[in-house]
Amino acid sequence: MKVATDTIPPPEPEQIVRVLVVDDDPSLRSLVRDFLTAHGYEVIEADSGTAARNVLAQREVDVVILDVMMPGEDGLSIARSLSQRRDLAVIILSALGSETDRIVGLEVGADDYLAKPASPRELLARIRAVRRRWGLSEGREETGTSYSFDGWTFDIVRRVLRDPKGIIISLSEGEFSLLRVFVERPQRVLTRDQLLEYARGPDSDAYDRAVDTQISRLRRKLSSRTQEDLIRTVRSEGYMFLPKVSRR
Amino acid sequence: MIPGWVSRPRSIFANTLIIVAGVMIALAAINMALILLRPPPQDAFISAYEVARMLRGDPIAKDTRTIGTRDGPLPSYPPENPVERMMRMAIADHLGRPPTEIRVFHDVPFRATEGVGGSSPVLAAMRREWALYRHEGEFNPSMMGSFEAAVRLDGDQWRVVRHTGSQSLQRWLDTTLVLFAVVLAAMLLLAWLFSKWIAKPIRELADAADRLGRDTRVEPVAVRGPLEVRMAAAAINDMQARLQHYMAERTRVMAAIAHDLRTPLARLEFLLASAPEALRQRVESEIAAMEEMISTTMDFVQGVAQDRPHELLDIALLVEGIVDDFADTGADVRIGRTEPVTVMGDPLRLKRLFSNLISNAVTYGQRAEVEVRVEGNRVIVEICDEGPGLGEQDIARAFEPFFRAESSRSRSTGGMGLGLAIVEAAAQAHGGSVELSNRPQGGLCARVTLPIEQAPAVEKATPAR
Repeated sequence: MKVATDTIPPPEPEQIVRVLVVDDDPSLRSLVRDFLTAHGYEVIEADSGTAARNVLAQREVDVVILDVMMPGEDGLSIARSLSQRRDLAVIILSALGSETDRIVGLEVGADDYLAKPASPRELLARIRAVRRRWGLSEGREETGTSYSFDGWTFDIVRRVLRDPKGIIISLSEGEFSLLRVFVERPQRVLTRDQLLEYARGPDSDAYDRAVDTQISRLRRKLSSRTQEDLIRTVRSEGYMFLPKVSRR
Repeated sequence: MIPGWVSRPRSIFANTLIIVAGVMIALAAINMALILLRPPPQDAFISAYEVARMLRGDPIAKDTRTIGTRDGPLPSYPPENPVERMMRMAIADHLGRPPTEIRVFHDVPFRATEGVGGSSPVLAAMRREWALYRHEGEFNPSMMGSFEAAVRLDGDQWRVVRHTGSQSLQRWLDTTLVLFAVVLAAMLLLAWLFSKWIAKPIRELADAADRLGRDTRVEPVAVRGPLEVRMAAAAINDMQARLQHYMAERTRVMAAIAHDLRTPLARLEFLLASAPEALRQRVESEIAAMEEMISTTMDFVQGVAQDRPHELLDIALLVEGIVDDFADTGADVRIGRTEPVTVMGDPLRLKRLFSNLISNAVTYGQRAEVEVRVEGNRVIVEICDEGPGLGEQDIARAFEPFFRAESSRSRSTGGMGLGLAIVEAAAQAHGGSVELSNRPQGGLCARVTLPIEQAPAVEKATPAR
């Protein structure tokens, strides 16, 4: 499935998605509202944490787009209190753009973290991705995702992989996404197409030819520390992640 | 308030005065005691008259155990010195024999210089006695220490009298010298210990100030040692607190500015959503450039202030991962074979360090060649390009914040001149360093050195999150 990145795909037709936009900047809020409405979403606005809680108490919301730095209750505290709700997804849209800010945002339970200034298409893509993941797992995913296998630990939020001695093994972006797909679906044969779709979403074909390269790099990094091959090539089918994975 | 203050510390001035004066007084006292308690032994003086008596075979009134007499041929003596000559004259007078039939040999260590040049006080006194007393037959000089005197008997036969001086004077001199040396060595040891004791807290202070210069979050300096050092340590701690406060304030202000700039940029992004495609793309690239500047500035400011834990990580794989990320976006970046190398560090900051260097190499030098190697207990990461390199003056200033080489300023390569400043701050925060050099065959090399940490031998059950 090929989609040109600079045209906006049509909205998902099946049902109206309700988005709550929480931001203290009124003009940005209305710009986001106009944009999302134009793409078929139903948008509710809230200018503060208190207003957002009122809306959430009264109406059904599917996705919350949350600013962090607001007067009164900040976005992180709202995200934390919403992290137990299984019926809605939270995307933080913040002017705090560092890696540390992103980690903090994801650790309090947000499903995604987007730094301002994000392009409208990126926001749209993230909303769709969150909804798609939701669709795949029939409900919101559990948070605090960290996996362990064969003594290794893999922290999705911090993007940190540690070998059995606790030493951090750095991964490139591509390797990270692939390993994430593997640990979420261990001991199953995955085809290249499946790996691509799970790793990049259905909208991308940019890394198609690189999958084999990236898997061989990932395999080399995993075996450079323990001399054990954790990924098996299944001839003419795909790849399988061998160890048992436990989720924490 | 500080435990050390209980016993009141003295100043370096007082301590130095006490120790130096004490050492000098002790040295003088010990030397005096050595001389007074162990006076040099007295050796007997033998006069020319007594020598003459012995040569005649007559007894003398002194202890003669040290005197031996023999008859035989004349031993060969070295040429006569002026004192020996005087002695010979006097003995000849007392014996009533011509001086040619007498020989005198003063067998002492200082013989070679004795009376040479006629300026010695002993010789001068002898000459005055000679002038005044000789005509009355009373010229009677004496000798000390070992000597031999001979008188011709007949033909080749001579009578030789030998007086062996006691060795005790030499022994006294030797032992006194040894004692002086021992005392001197003890004093030198004392001086060494004292200097160490004075220098140690000052050196600790200098080290602490040096660490503070690299990173304001180091432990405060211990307030101990002499008074002046304590005062300096307290002043440094005050300065550190003020620096930390200033850094935190700067970070807060920068974060506020970044926030206030990013919100209108975000509005712009959404305003553009309905703009014509060509315009939208151009404005978006401008927004991206502005955002890049904001985040680089934030990186620079937060790099100094942020306090993330350092963890064990594989630096070779970290560099490889960055190289792969660059290669995935189509950049010409290559890396040689690497082996696992563990360092202690902040993975995010190290990633930023190496991606800045690789990005520079790709931007200004078309392609980057990366090498990771181990030298002793340090790991060296070298990133070389094939660009025009930098002038020597630009290399010297390259790490200064907001500095941009002329070659980069005139191009459309953008940037604020913070990339290398971030690199250097990150390297120093990891106890390492970074340097730039031009390659002889053209191109620029950045060389990062980091200390290696030993990987733990025991496997950790649960690593900290």
